[in-house]
Amino acid sequence: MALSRAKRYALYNQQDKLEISLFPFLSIFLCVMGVLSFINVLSSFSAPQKIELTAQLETGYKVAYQIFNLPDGIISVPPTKYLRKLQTATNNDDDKDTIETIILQRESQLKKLENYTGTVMALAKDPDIDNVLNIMRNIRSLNEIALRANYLYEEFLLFGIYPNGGQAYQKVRDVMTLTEDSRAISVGLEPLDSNWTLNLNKLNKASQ
Amino acid sequence: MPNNKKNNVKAPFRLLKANWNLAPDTSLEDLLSHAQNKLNNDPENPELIYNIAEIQRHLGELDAANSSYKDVVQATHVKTEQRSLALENRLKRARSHTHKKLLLVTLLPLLAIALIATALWNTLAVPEPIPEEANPEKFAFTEWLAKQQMVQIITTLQKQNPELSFDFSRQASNKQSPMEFMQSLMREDAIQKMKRDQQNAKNNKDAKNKNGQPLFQCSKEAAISCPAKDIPNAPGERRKEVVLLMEAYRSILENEQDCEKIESSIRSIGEQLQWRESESRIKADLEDFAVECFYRTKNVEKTIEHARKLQCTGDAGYINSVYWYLTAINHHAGDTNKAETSYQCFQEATNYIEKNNDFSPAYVASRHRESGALAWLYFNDLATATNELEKARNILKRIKKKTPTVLEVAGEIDLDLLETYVTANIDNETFESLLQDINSSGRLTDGYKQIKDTLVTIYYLQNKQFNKAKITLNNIASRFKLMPEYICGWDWSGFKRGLDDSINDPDIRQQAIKMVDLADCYVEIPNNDRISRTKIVKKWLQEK
Amino acid sequence: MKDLISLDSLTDIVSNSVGILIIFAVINLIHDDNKTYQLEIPIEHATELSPVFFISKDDHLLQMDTDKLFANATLQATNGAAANKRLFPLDYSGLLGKIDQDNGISFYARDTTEWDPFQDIDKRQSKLRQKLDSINPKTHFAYFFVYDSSENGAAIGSGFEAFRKAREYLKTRAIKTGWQPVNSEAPTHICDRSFSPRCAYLPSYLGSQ
Repeated sequence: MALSRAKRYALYNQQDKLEISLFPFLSIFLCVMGVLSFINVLSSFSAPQKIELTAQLETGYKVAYQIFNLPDGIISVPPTKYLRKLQTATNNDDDKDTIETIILQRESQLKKLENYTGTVMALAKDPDIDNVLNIMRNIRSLNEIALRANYLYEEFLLFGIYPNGGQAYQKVRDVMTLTEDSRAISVGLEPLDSNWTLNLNKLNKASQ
Repeated sequence: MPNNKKNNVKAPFRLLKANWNLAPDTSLEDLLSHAQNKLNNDPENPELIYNIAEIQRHLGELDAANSSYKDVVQATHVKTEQRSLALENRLKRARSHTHKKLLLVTLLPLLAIALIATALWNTLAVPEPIPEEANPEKFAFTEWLAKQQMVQIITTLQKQNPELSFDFSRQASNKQSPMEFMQSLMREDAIQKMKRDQQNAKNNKDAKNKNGQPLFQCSKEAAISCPAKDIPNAPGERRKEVVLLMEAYRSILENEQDCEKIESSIRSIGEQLQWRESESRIKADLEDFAVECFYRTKNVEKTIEHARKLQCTGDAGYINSVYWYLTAINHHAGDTNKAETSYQCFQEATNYIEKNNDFSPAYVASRHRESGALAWLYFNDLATATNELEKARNILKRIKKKTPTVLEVAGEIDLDLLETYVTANIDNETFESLLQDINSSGRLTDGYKQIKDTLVTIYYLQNKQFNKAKITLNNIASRFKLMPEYICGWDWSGFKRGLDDSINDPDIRQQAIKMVDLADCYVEIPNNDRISRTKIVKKWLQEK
Repeated sequence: MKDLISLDSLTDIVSNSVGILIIFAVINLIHDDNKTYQLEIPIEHATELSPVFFISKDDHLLQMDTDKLFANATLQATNGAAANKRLFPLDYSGLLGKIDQDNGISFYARDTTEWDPFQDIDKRQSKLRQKLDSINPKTHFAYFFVYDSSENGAAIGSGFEAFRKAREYLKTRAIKTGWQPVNSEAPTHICDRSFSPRCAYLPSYLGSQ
């Protein structure tokens, strides 16, 4: 009797057993996939990525004078971080004065960039011959002051080139061929993505 | 109880009679008849069939009543089905409407966003064209002004350089705008280049006598006989585009390390072009690459072979190059007599080019510098070396305008002089003065900065200025860290020989030799090894 | 058994939780302004290595066989096709040449359909991959002339992406790379230093050590 009852219960269990449904798993899976796809689509339409290009860029003793080349022109970002140290290292008063002048020029330039409130790309200006020659002259002066003072410091030109920025770059290089000052200045080129915008906050970091 | 029951049975029919507008006392048979008439008009009405079934049942017509009850079920079933279908259709319509609404609400906004984004993207990506009136190069007035200025500039240049000819017809046909042409003239060595180009064209005409032999002949050696294939003597005008192309090709050959490849390139180009007399400079350029390559690999036979081929081109601009390589390779081969003869020919060639006035003073100064280097490197003749360097310096001092070529030669001479000053352990003031000149030349590459600092460190060691030596040593190590390739052209053999006499202290001399070894760019060791060697010297310095 | 706990509610809760977490992550992602990209700093340096030239344009790459190009150009020049700065065909993947005093020989690229698409770098047996693999890092480095815009002036379709991809791959092979931007007004050109100090083709990116 007990056996048959048990058998009946077993039969009953067999008919009404717990069925594992795939639905919950599928619903979570599809939900996750859907959201991830949505994130993907969203990111392609999202606002341009802001990358923070460090204004004071260096590798060892070589410090970059950055020139960003855009379709509308160039944006110069001069380095100032180690200039005070260089000034301390030199014993020549004329050299100290030269460095001081350059620091003031560059800090004023950086301040203008920092205080600008519009789109960064709108800062680009057509390369001015005198301006470019001045840049070369200053870089050469600083490099030679460092050599004379036996202080290891060298500035080089780092061109960040945006799509369609090649024309501005060619103009700057053409001007550089007009002067002997650029002969010993090293050059680096970096291709930049058009999605990358510049974050020019906190540029002015001249060392104390 | 029965009365109530009776009353209850009659009640529905009373209501029915009232609904059908029949008198309350209508008999059941009349009622049935009325109902059946109604059924004829509406045979599928289940309520009506049910009422008929009830009436039949009350009349005792049980069979008929059963049949009617079945009809009711059937009719109801049909109605139910009809209702279901109607409901289904309504649901379908509702669902379809919902789908359409969903599409409208979700897709349309997405589509709108996509269109706006694409439009914005395209608008932002298109570069803004420069407005015509704002572009100074297109502005007619500026162009006219530039043309006027160009005419003025060229007139002035012609007055200053009467020996030069300016080809206006070429200017008229080329695509340079007046602005571009003026800019090209403003380049510092533009006039010098123009002079050189015109002189080279003249040289190519004058460099040979009627028999096709080079005009310069060294008195210390017999006249060389050149095979016909080595002499560019095909007739015809200089092919301008071919020459420019071959000049551009130099950049391909410059760093070529496969000397056989250079050799075969020269052969195949020669077969294709059939060198003309007016194009001998190009053949000379290519042969110079071949000589340099074979010399680098110290292949004595090939170096001499190609040096002679270079000589057979008859280009006066390469005479010194020929004898430089012959001196060097003969010295390497151990044949000092031939090396000496070649050096004497080098000196004669230098005198020849100096007297001919066909070469720029900077070119002549550079040859004197090379003469000094050969004397010191291969013949240990410090007096001749110093003398030649002084000659070179004096020539450069007389040049008023410091063109890039002049500055380049001056830079090379200054470095050579620095080496002699360190060897001679010159006084501090003279040394520092020369060092400042070198540091201000604006021409030092990273490789030559290492050479300079090595010499300076050795000078400081000689004079026991150990603190200064530490600084320059640190600088050398730091530069090696950031130098992917250590490139320079500097032979230390002469300087190393001179250390025996110039540094008395054996300890310091040892350190100086270590410095020279670590700065030797012809020895292929990784920069990390060079840095380690500076640390060894630094450690010695720290104990001082 | 019919009274077993239904999993539907639990599923709902879990999926909602996951969804909300993802949304929070998305919001974080969008408002993350503090991404800093450390650019590799390229500096051109003197080298004893010889350049292997490439042109990068419209997502395609073309290796320049200089022997063939110069041979074809010489043929054209001797026939007078290159006179007066005329453009002449080079019979090399659609390139046109021009010879002048300022730029040496210039190469104008038009149609890139015959070139290798840069995606072929990922395919092991592709011709492009074989060409890149054939560069010997002890004797050669790769130099790219990169178009900075496509034909219609749009930024999309420039050679930048192809160049970056090639550079990344070559780095893994310890091969140095150098580059310069070109466009239709300032096209690819090969010249010697006697023309201009700018006629120098130097590596600036190091291969991995």
